[in-house]
Amino acid sequence: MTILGIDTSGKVASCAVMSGDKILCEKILYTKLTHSQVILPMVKEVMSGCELGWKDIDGIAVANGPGSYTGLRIGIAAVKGICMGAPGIRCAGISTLEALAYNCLAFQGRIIPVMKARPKVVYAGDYFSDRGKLVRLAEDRVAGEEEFFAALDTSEKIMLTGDHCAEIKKTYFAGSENVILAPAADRLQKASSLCAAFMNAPQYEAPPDKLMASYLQETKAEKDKAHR
Amino acid sequence: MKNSIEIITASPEETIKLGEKIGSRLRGGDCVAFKGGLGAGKTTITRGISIGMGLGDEVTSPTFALVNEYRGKGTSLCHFDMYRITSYADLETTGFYDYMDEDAVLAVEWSENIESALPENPVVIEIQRIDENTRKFIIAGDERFDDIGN
Repeated sequence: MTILGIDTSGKVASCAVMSGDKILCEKILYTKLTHSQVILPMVKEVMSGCELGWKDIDGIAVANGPGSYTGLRIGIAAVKGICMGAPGIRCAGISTLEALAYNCLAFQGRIIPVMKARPKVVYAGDYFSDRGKLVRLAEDRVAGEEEFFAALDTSEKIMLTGDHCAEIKKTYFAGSENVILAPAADRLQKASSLCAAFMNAPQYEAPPDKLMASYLQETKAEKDKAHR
Repeated sequence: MKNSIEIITASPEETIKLGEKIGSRLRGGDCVAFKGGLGAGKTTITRGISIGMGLGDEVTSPTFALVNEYRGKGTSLCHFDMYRITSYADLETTGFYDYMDEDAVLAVEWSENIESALPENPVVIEIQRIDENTRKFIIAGDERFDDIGN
C-alpha cells in the first residue's frame, strides 16, 4: 500500500510517500511562506522524486487538526482537490497530535504531544506506545497550559513532543527525571507519521467531502473571554 | 514597567515620523494595540511603524482584508483591524494566533474588541483626535519607549 502524507498544520510544511514500512521520500520545510504557496509544489517534487504518478497512490493521509487555522484548511482543501481529480484514491484525516505521537513510537510508555494554541493555552494529546503500537488514552483537547500540566501524573516515564514541549519541560518539569523530551528531530510534524497512522488505522478513511478540520471544542468560558 | 508617554503631533507627516521612531524600537513578538476611533490616524501611524521597521510605506487600511502582512528580510509586520471581530471564533478565523510569533510584530486596530486575547505586555497606543490635523498619542510600553518624545 502506497500512501501520500500531507501536513500543513503547523510551522512546518511536510510531504511524504510511504510504501509499506518504507519511506520513499519525505520533505519537511520550516517556512515563513504560507503553506498554500509551498505544499503543492512540494507534493509534486516528492512524487517525481520517487517516480510515482497519481495512479500509484492508494491513499492520502492529511493532518486534520488541531493546528493553524489557515494551515489546516490549506492541507485539507488540497487533498479534497486531489481526490476529486483521482477518485480511486482513498483519504483519511489524522489527528495532528496522534501523528506527533507516531514520531516517538520507539519510546515505550506514555507520550504527551503538546502544541501551543495561543498564550497559556495548549493542544494536548495523551497516547501510550507499547511495543510499536500506539493507543490513545484520552481525547485530544484544548486546555489551559497550567491546568493540564499541573495535574499530570509523572510517577511513570512520560515523553513530551510537539512544538511547545521544550517550553513545558522547562516551565513545569525542569527537575523531573520521568518527564523526557523527544529528540529535536521528532518534535515537529512529519508527513511520514501521517502515512504510518493511516496504515495502522485504516478505519480513519473518510470520503473526501467529509474531511474536516478539527479545531477542538472551546469551552464556553473561553469563547466568552474573547469578548468581554 | 509600564510608563505612559504623551506626544502631540500637528500633521500626518509628524505622525508618520513618530511611527518611525516606534517601529525602530519594536522587535519580533511585540504587539502594538491601538485604541482610538474612526479617522484617529491608526493607519497613518502604522505606515510610520512599517517604515521604521524597514518594511516600506505601502501600508493601507486593513478594514476590508482584516489583516495585511508586510514582509522583509527580518521581522514582519502584521496589521489587523478588529472592528468587525465580535467573537472568539471570528478572531481565530483571522489567523491572529497563527501570526503570533517571535518573528512578527502585530499591530492591532480596534484592540478594544479583543482585549483579553491580546498577548502579554502589549505596547498600548491610544489616539485622541484634537482637531483636523492634531492628534494626541498616549503610548504605554516598556523602557524602550521612554525617550520616544525626544
